[in-house]
Amino acid sequence: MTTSVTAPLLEVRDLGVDFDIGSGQLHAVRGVSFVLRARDRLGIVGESGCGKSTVVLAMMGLLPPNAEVSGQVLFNGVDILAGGDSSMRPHRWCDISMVFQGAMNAFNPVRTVGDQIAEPIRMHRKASRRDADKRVGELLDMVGIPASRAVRYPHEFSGGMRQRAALAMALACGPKVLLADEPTTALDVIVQAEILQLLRRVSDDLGVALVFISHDLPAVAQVTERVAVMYAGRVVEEAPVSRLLTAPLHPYSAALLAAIPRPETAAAVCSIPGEPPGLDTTVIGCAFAPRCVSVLDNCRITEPPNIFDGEGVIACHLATSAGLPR
Amino acid sequence: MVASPSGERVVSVPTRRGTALRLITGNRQTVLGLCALGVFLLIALLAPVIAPTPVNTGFANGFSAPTAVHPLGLDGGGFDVLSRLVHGAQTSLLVGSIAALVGMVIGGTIGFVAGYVGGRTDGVLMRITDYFLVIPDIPLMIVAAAVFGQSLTNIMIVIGLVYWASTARLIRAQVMSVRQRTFVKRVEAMGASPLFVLTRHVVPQVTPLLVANTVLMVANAIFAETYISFLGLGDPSVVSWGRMIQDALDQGAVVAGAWWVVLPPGLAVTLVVLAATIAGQGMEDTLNPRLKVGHLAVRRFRVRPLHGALDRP
Amino acid sequence: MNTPLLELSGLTVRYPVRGAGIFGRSGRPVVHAVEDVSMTLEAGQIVALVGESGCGKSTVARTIVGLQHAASGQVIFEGADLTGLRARALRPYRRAIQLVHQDPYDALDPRMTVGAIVEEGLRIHQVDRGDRDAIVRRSLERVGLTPADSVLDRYPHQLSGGQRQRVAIAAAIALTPRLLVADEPVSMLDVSVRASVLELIDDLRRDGLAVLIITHDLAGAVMLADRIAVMYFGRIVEEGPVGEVMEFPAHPYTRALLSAIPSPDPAVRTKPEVVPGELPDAAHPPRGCAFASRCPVAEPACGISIPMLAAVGSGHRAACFRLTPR
Repeated sequence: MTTSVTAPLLEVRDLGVDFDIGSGQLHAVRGVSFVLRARDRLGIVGESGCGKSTVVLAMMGLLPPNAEVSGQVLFNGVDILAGGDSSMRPHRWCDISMVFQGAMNAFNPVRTVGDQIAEPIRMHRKASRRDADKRVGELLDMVGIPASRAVRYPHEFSGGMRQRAALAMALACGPKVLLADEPTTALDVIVQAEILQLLRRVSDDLGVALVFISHDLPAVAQVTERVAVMYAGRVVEEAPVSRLLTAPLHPYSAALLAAIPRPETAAAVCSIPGEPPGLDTTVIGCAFAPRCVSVLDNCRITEPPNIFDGEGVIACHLATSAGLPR
Repeated sequence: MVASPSGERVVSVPTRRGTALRLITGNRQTVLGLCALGVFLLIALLAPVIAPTPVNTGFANGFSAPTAVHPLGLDGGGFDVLSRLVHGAQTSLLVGSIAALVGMVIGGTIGFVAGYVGGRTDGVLMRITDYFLVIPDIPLMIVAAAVFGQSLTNIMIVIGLVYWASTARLIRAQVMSVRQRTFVKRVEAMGASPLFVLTRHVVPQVTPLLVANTVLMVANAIFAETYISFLGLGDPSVVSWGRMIQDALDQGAVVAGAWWVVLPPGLAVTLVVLAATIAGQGMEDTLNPRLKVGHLAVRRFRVRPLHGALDRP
Repeated sequence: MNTPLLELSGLTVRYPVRGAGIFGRSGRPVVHAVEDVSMTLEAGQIVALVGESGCGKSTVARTIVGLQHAASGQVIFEGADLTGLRARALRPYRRAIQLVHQDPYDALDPRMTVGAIVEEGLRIHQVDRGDRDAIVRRSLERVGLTPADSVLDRYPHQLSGGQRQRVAIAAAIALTPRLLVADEPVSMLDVSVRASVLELIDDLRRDGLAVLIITHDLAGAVMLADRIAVMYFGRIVEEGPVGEVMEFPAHPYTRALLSAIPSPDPAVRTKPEVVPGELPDAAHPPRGCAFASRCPVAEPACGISIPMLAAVGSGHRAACFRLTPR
């Protein structure tokens, strides 16, 4: 499939999500932007509460009713958020699909796995039972599950296999973009490594663009080419993965890296003092300033703009590289 | 502000008031329901004062439309409808509360014991509970009223006996769930005796639910009492709303077009039951907050899937 | 040779699987959670018990603290056999051995203040009333929550995950235990907070505490532990000094675990050294080595009998018929 380099498949522009909780508002996502081209693999990394899951849920239009979404999500140039649920629905699963966090538990226990994977196929493509089953067999094969297991029930699958089945389900209608929200988080490390391998393979073979969300930076590094680091609802740095892991520009990215234990080097591991700001607070200046080791006076006053430096984006007053602000 | 070596700041979250206060005031429904119940309670307590005329005095020989002296008119026997209505409130609320209390005591005790002791005791108790759950309530009450006599006390006990079963199941489930909570296991591991755990951890966690459930049971009990009285099995010596409805039918109020005899008791029962239901459900909602932003809760990536309502990313 | 602080000898724990009869009697199938586990722990040591979920490590932890009964084998603490002791005789040991749980969000009673939570253990063990306040404050400050006054009246929901875990640890050390069993103490905390809590546990060693840390995170365990024991399917498959095991892993499962840890270096593709396969059914354990179905170097002999732990280095043992010489 040939794609023009300049035409993005999926573009998120200045996405913002606020939740109205009666007693106030929670600012979960603030001004997140990124671009995804065909076959791109982007990772979104951050800790709990940073908004990474909210971003993908917003992209799929799956937020609860008290969410207020601002900004645009352009799929092939068309804003799919603009028309509400009805404009979003045709794109769901066929163009943009998702593997949810805890997908292992997302299966209906009283229906066979094959049935559940076939469901979107029959719904969106109006396929006959026989065609759907055939496709289910292909999908299971692709994710490494023997096709004979299609008639089994979810409880007969192990956690890792259910995750593979969830992936098969997400790929059922041949989407061009796959959003994977913490797909390996509840899995054992060996199974996790297998699933990461699988994600790489599937993305290569099917040409699917992948957005991989996780708190686990090394896992993300294994699968993606670019990584966006989120903190307090904003993308604080986006860079090619090799650059981010060797020379992170944002102090938070650097701190995250320093917090990863490395058995080979037995290096001392550092934790980051302090707490992310509450989601209900309005942030003045940079959200990371209270915890930043390289904080400047300006950081507490003005919010750092997004600076585009050719390879990626950095939202930090320390970034001195020249570039046009986004 | 707490300063630890890592400088972690205490997260600012609005303080939770004591559970009792929260239970009552936490939800608009609850407040509304409780206020309405309070109004009825007041009416019931002040019945002798509010009633425009003594209850058992006849004024005429038959129906009489509402007038200034008798705001709700007279019924077929010539009695003042408003007076009867107001005295009927006493009966209904009294029976409702006591019956609910009986049900709460029986159901709560059995639920606690079954949930806490577990094992065979639990098995046996639950089979008994199931039996009471499947018995059709109204026929049982009819039979009991017929066999044990039609006194107010009997009615209260009978209603309680019929309705305790669902409470027992609820409490048992909650007790079992609390026992599995990590903080209970932690304290058990420290060497706490079962009694210690029961009184200091399980009971405080379960009691609010019991209270909410009891309020709901009041609604059921009042309705049941109305039903029984309507069928003529209620205590003949007291006025009750169900009895009023029965009398209305017996006296041919509908045929006579005497709406002031039929409507008020029916409306009164409806309102009280509605109030109790709203209050009880509001309380249950308060205890079981499914925040719309549950997915933003701090609890995150688990190694194993856990219990817990806050599951979504 | 001193008596070890803790000795597990042939510990075996089995659970009946559900299948209750009509009056609550349990059915026949039995899960072999822990099989023949033997290990020792010296005073002042930190030993890590490592394995994936379902391997039985948490069951071992619960058995040590008396929340679980062993089917056979012994738990010997300071020379005394705890297995089979009745509740009354067990009481002093319930003070000497303390458990820290995985879930800091559920380990504290939401209705109690921090001060009450830390005091509770003292109350259970009838510590003199006059001393309690001082002990509570001291414990809170020892875990880094200073000044104690500012947390004493707080409720758990007002604290972050890291702080809650510190409170749980404070509650444990208030009883001046000699052994701390930490079951996945940081797995539910954010990455940036983990290191500080692990540091705290390490620091508690200065007070003469021995620690048994249960974890699935091999990398994290290495930071802290003196010795490491690897469990698979209810058995210890390898154990030894941590440096030795990490540098010269003998058992194929240990090697698989190490190879599966995602490397933060994107140039290095993580490839777990394991044959794709599943954990055997816990209710129907296989005849031979449980890892054989996934082992890259399995032989027919591996399916016939179960290998026993044998020395592969000084203080280093592994249970494998195909032991790799150093």
